[in-house]
Amino acid sequence: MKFLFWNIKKNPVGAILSKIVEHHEVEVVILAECPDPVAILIDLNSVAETLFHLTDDQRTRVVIYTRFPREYTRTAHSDFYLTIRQLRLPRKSEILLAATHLPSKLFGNEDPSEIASRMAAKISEVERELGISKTVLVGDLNMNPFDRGVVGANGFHAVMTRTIARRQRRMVRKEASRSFFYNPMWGRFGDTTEGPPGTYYRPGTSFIEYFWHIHDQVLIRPDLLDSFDDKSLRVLTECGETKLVGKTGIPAQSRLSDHLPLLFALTT
Amino acid sequence: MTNKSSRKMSLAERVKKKRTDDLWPEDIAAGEGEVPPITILKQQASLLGRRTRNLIEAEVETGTSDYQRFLRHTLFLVAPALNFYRHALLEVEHDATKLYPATIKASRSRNGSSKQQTLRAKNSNEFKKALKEVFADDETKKTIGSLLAQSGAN
Repeated sequence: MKFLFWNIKKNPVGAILSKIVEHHEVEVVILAECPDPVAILIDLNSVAETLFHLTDDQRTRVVIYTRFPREYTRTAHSDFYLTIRQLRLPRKSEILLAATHLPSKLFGNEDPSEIASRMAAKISEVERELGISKTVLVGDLNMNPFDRGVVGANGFHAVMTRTIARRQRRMVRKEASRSFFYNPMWGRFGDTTEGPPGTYYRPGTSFIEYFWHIHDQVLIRPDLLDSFDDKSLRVLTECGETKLVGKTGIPAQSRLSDHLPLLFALTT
Repeated sequence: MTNKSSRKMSLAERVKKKRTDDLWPEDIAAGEGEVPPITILKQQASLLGRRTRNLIEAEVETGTSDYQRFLRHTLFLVAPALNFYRHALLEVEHDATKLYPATIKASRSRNGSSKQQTLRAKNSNEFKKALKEVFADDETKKTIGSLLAQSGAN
């Protein structure tokens, strides 16, 4: 099953989004900063052979469309930042899809790492309640993979290798046992990796500037690792002849978005 | 020396024992011939979604009535763009252990006013005919048209 996540920066990207999802045969579309979910639904379904359904969650800052009917998705939890969906498709293993758009460090008083900490606890709670450990978390975390909210044991605890993640969990200072996520986005920084140097570009005037960031991430629980092939993960910069980046390789933010879409697949 | 009574049963013996324990007849299967009302309702629900490009969808919910004597299927119109507003379009009831006859209750327009009407179907053909009548009724068309207009359809 193919998933696409994109922070569309409130832009009317329906036409290009439809092209991308048809070209890559995406089955689940997750959008952040999508002010008009119905306009996007109309665009998606203007070209789709298998129609998309808008799923029913008005509380969260992300919007999810699926090619399969809503009866196969159940909202296990939803709040302003996080939604957790139980996907129960015929002849497939049951998984949890958690999607989020955390607040930016640049605006407001909310610290994304603190919210990540609460969110990680909520994900673990839902996993325990439902007895499901095959969870994928996707979204705009507004943090890089090395930020404490993502890698820290009090946050998502998302590590850079499968081998470490397969240990399932670790004791932190002999006090608490924390489950791992695998974070494949560690391997996508800079010029020597596959795809663009990041998913989001922001120049600045501070002494330390990374310029490229990886705020858009997909995190996989150890029990779902066998269903996830790192090669399926792509940060998209084009679709056919349409470029999602400008001549310098920076996201075409005025036309589309300052974030690039994230594509990945799970074989459940 | 092997104790005969305590030795493990062979696969053939286990299959034979299982057959002896199972008192149900061999020929248990889904009934053939008539298409169940719920199947027809679900097909039509899916077709409405295709027709409106999922701006208006339909869903079937099944419950029971009269202390489980009857199955009751309700066909809802769902408008995702209107905060998932749901409108019960019609209800179908039939004996829980028989597919037909089925009773269809729907609100229909009569001389400019709306009235609850009950239709009866003895088989799947009559059931389809009755559904077609309800779908083509002015009240149904107005309801779907109004939901579509409010959902931003051109």
